[in-house]
Amino acid sequence: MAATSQDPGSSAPARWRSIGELNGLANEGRDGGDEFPPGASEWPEGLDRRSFLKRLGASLALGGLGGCMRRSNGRIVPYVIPPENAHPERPEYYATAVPVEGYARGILVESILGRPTKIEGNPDHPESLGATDAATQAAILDLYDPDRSRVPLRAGLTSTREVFAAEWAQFLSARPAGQARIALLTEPTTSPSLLREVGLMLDAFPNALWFQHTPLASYEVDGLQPDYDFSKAGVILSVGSDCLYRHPACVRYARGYAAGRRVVDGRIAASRFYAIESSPSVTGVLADVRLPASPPRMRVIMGAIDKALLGNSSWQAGLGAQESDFVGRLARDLRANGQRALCVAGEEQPMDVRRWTASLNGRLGSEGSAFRWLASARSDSNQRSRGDARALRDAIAGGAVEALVVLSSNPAYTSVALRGVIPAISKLPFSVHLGAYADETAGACAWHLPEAHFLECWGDLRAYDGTASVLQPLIEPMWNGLSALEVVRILRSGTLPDSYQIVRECWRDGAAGDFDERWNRWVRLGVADSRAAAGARAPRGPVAAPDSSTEAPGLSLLLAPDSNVLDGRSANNAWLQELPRPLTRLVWDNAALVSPSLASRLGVEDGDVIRIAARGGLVEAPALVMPGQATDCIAISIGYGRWRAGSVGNGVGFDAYQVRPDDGTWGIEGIEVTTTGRRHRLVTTQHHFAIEGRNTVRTVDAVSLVLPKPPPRTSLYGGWPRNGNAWGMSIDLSTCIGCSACVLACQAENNIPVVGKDQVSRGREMHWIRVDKYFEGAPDNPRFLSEPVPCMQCENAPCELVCPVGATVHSSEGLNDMVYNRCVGTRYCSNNCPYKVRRFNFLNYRAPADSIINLQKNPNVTVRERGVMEKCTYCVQRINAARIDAERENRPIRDGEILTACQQACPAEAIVFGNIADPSSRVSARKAEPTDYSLLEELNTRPRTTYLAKVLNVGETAS
Amino acid sequence: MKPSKNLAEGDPEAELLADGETPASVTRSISAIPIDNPRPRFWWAVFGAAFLVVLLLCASLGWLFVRGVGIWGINIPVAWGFAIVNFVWWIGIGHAGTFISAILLLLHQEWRTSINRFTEAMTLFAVACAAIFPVIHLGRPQFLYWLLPYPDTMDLWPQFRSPLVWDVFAVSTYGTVSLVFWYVGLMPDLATMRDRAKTKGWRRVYGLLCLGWRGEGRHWNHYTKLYILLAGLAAPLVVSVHSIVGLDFAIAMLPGWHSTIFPPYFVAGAIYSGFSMVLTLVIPLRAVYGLGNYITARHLDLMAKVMMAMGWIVAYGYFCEFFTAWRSGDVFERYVAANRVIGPYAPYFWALMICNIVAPQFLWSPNLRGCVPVLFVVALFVNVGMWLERFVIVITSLHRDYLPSSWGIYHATFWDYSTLAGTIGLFLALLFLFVRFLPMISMSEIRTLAAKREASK
Repeated sequence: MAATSQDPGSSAPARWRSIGELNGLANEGRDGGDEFPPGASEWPEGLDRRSFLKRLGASLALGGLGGCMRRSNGRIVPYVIPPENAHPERPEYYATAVPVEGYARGILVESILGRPTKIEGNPDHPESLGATDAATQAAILDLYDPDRSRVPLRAGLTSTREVFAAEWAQFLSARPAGQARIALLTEPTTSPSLLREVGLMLDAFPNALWFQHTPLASYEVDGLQPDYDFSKAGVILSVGSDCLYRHPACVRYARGYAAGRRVVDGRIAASRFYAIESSPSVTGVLADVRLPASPPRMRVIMGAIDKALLGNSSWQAGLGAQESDFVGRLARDLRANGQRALCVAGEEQPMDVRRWTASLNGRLGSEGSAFRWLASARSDSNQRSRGDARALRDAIAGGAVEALVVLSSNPAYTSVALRGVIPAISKLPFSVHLGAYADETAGACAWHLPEAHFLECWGDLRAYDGTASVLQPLIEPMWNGLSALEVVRILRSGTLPDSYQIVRECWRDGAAGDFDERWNRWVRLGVADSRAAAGARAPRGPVAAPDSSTEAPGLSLLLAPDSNVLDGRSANNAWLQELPRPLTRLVWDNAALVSPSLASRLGVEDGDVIRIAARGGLVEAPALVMPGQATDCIAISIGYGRWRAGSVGNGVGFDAYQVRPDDGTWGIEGIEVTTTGRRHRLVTTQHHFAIEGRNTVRTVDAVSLVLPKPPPRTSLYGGWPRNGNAWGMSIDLSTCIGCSACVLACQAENNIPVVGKDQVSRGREMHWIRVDKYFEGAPDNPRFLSEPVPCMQCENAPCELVCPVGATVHSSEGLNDMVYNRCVGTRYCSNNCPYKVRRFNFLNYRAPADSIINLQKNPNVTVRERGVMEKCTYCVQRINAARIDAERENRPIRDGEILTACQQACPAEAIVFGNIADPSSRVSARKAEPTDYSLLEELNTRPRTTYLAKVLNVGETAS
Repeated sequence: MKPSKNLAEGDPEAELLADGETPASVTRSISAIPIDNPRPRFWWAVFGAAFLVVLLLCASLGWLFVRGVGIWGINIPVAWGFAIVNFVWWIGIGHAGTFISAILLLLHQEWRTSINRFTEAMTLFAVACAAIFPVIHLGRPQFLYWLLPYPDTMDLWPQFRSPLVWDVFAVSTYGTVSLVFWYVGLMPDLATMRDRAKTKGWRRVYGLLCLGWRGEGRHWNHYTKLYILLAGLAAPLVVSVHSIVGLDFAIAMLPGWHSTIFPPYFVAGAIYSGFSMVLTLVIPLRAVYGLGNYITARHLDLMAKVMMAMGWIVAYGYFCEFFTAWRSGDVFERYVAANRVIGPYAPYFWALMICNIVAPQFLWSPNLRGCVPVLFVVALFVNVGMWLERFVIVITSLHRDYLPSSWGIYHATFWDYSTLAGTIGLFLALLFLFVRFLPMISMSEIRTLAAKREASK
């Protein structure tokens, strides 16, 4: 590019209007919109003074053209004349949906002055019900990730969309019309529009092949989706499932589960939860009765369960005491509950296990009530798809592919099969990758196109239950990104498409009546009229128990999607990296989880790097001792050790794909484990998991519901006045599933910074609410207790007494306010806080003033400076917003009008906030339950945040 | 040096000044040190080394102000670290001076006269070192003045219930009174220095500083009254300042801090560390500058005894902490007590026991007490022990408090150590400047002693 205008031999015109023209490429008749794509300012090296000045002049001249930048579709514009009663300072909410492994979760996105700032659940959407999971909360950060790809790349160098379109046209024109051998690789999707576009593409190019790849498990069992209603279940059996935490329907499931664990008016009809799993999962550790077992052992136990349910008296053969107790109780309860017995298998389990577990529901009679089959919403088994990444690898190796198109997927990292043919991909005549990051696959392909974030483009998706949603953009694509829909259209027709029209076309198809009216309603609600797949009933015969005859001695390895970064797609999301993994509290890493007894057998401690050899693959990862892990099983999560994730995710953790079989199975038996003698620093936010006999997490038995009450405390000073509003919170430990959605919701709402692995290792994480995790009982199979801890807002606040400048003071409504401006940073308040909920800005944790991350910040919350203490405020900005509304309307603040961020996100409705001076408020009702208690009651701090004890429904032993 | 057996016999007062010392000889030999600098190589070596460490302090503080308190090892839950440990340690060291000058003066303990000047100077410099820490340990030190009660346009005052505010008053009052007391006591000697200075420049300097002291009877009359009054004023401060430092901790509800014994126990600890520091400094200086005639074995012996007595009070404090923890039956108190003994910081605790309780027991024996090297080593141990005591109080209480989920660990960083070392350097540098330019023993008071003895002969 540097020499073009000087080289006398060049055919470039002497005068040129655009870079494209200068490079001899037609400008496709488009205006100068993309003359200066982001990144184009990075001049090539060796620019001399004369050409620099020339370009300077050209830049000036073209500056005028740049000003004529086409504003995309013209549908997202600021108000020129604001309508009456418009409040630019007040957030607007728009309904859309977040893709969760291709499925939709309905959300409402808060937009302040045109900036999307926070994601909330959409109460109208069946897979959100107003709540979210942690990953959904973190999705907003991806939008503002400075590492996002900003410009098309050709062989790693900055290019433009026009050049791409021209090259594609050139590629096609070199071949007979429609004969190009194109391979299209997508993730399985539920998007009707994308499926339609892909179909049209396959129609237009008869030689085109469509492959689908995801490293994650399919939710289908024999082409149908099992679906659960936990609220109708009296007994639940989970076979290695984590469906309350990581599932497209996890929010709905958590809500249903919570319904069976909540004490209401002093009564509970508690479900009883049995879990059998190899590695502790968020869902499994909630179980009243939990049995850890290695994958081969699980099959033996399932065989015994099968026999016991059939009344075969020999079921106890070969079982240990703990195992036969488990099986005996389980079989008794399952039989007794019939219709209310729900059996759930994890998606990572082998297909025969999943098939058998699902069939139990039919056998027990819960199919149709607690269990149902759904027609598949996702394209996993779509007829036109030619298979997965292995099929693509074979096609590439067999020379059946001339052009590879990878859409929104990163197979060069996530596909074991394709990792081996990356050189072959690079040699293809044409290859293009659409992705939000210039990631591993971008490095393998000739072309990379930046992908628009889901908040930047139109689209559509179906939820797990089939409900369709229209995705609407909240903001103009920040980096000129394209959606997969648009790229498929460009490839097919060569024209720059308009995703709005593409989606509308799809939905207009066959729709009678006033389409615009319906369309507007769909967009507004975030839920389209039901074109949902109706419930299906699988005709099936009896299913045999999983074959357990091949149980081999030795260690097995269990791979799993990471609880935070999944398959690695969220590796560059700093919130998720710094969010403690739910059970290990590990941050910024993955680790090989080993049971305490295996650890002592191997002679390893936390952080000792072990080498795991499995089926020819080899991975080295630091060991982390995990109580409750099956003895002969090592678990490690995929999604780490990425090399082109971005500045946050590069080099974090260890790449477990190296031992992943290319058929996508998760368990490997017969592995070799050796120690390396090296150490790796693993960082956790919690270091001590024993409860030390302290009464911090209380449990009650579901039958008695008796919690010893402390004697009422008297004081010479009397209590804090409770007239007007007296804010309080109740956290139900019985329904809390420990998913950390509250933590990220708080982070997004309250501008909480990320501090990085090193700072966390020094004990300086900034989360205002944390989820404490305790183990109780034997290390091999302890009871896991989790407890979210925000600021207790004590009425006798110890922090207030010791602040020398009065920077933390009590408000008239009982809030323990933190005045950032006044804080000098003595940190005495934190020392004196028995709950240690205060967080200090030890260094400057703010993003630089010009960082794009700042666009995510909530303008109603101060961004704290170095040397200032901070803590949970009960989302005082939301309280004040509600107060202003109420005062304007001359009424008291209504119960439920204020939702704190943690409360709003909680899928289990475990957190309730409100006015405790109002006896009819929800929070007052919760606090009146017999299981209510205060944390560290004996200190007489009189916390406004209280807990409801965890209800255990263990039942009697089998004998 | 006199053999120790002499101490037990004869008139103890005689032992406070060597035979043959007359008022003239006292003045001559003591004023010679600032005027002639008899040991220049020693002085330059120590001062030079100390000054290099002061530069390290400057670098540490500079980096601190650039980056913030996060350069230290502090965290949540251990939000206070070396800065507070060092602060309490230095303030404690600063106690001996005023205790020796004021309280022993009021109690007519004449043996104080040889060491009071020096210990008062030590107090001032220790308080100067201590005063650095509350400032730099703030997250936003630029707003230090918010702890002062000044008429603010927004009617904001300090929060007077906080012991940190009391600290501001206690330490600043103590520092001020100590300075005035020291300066007033210095005036007659400054006049002597003016008279004996060799150059006109120094005459001017000393002349200005002695505020026109001419040794008139009227001067002496006013001087003596003022000195006694100031001593009366300073005496309660000795108790108040470290009581309040003790309250800094005792007010908190943290197990390990929340203890009513803290104020007296802190005062005793302060005097303990103060005396040990006096011994640590006096023993080498006495040897180098040949001050054995004024700081006699009898002085060392008396100081060793005070140190031992204080050591026992401190030991009682330790005992009380454990006893109360056990007697309370409180799970948190008991855990903190046990955690000190066997937890991750147990080595610090046991080192503390050796330094503060075991080491001084050697001083029961008059022979060992009379052996200057032994006394010096014991004093060093107590210095270290008193630092460890504050470390144990601050760190072990914080790192494992109520909720096991928030338990943490504290590791000091390079900058923690460099700041501690830097203040030691600053302290030594100031002390050596003092030794170089001012009489380190009160000539006027020793002259009184010498004159009294001459008169009695």
